[in-house]
Amino acid sequence: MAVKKYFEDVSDDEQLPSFQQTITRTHIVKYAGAGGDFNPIHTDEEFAKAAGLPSVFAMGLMHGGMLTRVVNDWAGDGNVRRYRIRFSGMVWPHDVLTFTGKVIKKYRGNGENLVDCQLTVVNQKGEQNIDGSATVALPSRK
Amino acid sequence: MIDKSLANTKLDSFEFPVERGKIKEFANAICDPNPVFKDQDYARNQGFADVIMPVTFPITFVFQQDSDNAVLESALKLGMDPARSVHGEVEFIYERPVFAGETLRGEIWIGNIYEKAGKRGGTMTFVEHETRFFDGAGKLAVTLRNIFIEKG
Repeated sequence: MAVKKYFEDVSDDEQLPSFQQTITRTHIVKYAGAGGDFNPIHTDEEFAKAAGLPSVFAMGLMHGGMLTRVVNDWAGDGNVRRYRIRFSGMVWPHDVLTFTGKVIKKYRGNGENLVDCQLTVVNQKGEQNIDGSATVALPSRK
Repeated sequence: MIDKSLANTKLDSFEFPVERGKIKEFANAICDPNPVFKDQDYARNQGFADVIMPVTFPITFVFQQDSDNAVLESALKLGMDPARSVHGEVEFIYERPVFAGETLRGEIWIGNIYEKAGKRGGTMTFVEHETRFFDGAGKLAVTLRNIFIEKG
């Protein structure tokens, strides 16, 4: 199995590779179809406007799903043990989201080498849309 | 009023077949180009049984439910007021990776129901809604925990 990251090579405060994504209505519709969230507030513009919103907005698990790439690409496939996201604020079509992560803590637990990471999604205005965290288990060089 | 007597009770169980095509579709929808979710040969060369389930993929269990909005509806069944309630948090806990071709058994549980004082006064009630996925050997593989918060 190709190792992406060894436990010994993780530095305190290490930044995980980040990426950006501009959100379109197509992303939202595609995620509704793949993920199974058919609440019309996310996909039906007329419904969203009737509810007093400027337009449809993304389901949190859409960008919450995109965010997993930050930790999975860094830690290696199959190594995520826990992934938690808290939603704070809505994501609208045309928002430019930045997905980032950083190392918080390295420790031994459950017989594994564990690393806790903080993960965030921030929009083009600097507003945080997701406050997330993950625990990954990494292989050791020993 | 939230019915606290439903804490730690099982609401439903269902079969959850983990399908390769569904995983690929989901990975594309979250814009993740990682071949471990799409290419069986690549995944096998990495030492896995088949393509892996993406971390948040368990939420697609809703396709196995009769309703399009099963999670929210079961929160409402507890007596939560939708006007004062938010979907605060989602957590995925993995005992091991799950592969295409497996059939999991899902169990929907109401977990703990607890209260905390709100920052602006009043009481906030937290309801844990869990879907627990067991593998063919009957071992827990993944827990999906949603937390709904009703503001006071």
